[in-house]
Amino acid sequence: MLPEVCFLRYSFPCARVLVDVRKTLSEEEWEQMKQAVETDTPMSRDYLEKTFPLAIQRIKKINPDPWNVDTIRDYFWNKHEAELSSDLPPMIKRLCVVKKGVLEKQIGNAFKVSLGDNDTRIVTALYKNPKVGDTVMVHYGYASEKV
Amino acid sequence: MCLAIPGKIIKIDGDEATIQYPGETRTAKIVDGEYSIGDYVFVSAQIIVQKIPEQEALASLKGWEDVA
Repeated sequence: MLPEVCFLRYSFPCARVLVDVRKTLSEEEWEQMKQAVETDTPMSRDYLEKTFPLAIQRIKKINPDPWNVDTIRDYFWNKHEAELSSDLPPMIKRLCVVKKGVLEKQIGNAFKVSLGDNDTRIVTALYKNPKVGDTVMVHYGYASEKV
Repeated sequence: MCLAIPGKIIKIDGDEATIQYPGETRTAKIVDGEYSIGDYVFVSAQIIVQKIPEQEALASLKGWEDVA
């Protein structure tokens, strides 16, 4: 997988925060991003660095070259949680953490996934041909990839 | 809207819920689980992802105001 594609699979779920809360991303840009993530189209590094400066800054702390799939996964799987402010309400913290789960049931185009701790969600897969039984990494309401 | 922000269900018509957000309403699909008017939910890709306890939902709305 290209690092740009991997990065977008994990950062796209957060992009609504940029539209709804921080107002740094327009609806049109969000739609373009959605199309890119759904089709595995790499967006430019410059654009991603400009759009998600905090995530890139934090990934650079792990590796000065952030454009590496292993480093991107290490950040989102293992280090993202520690970067979240302790003041954030529990719901936001719970949804922000990337968790591993199994797709249990397909309902239309969505899947039910249990993530333990009473955290059951209906998620949309960002990878092609998702199936019941897939072990996935979940961020917000999306299954970012199959592992 | 509104991946980041919890909304409140104000109407349910079959599997379609109308959800109130600060300043606007949106619709989302109920694909699984039991929901009632007044429930706070979290939506993504026009699908209800999960129910959020009211207290947590209200705290989240405030929390986002603080980080914005």
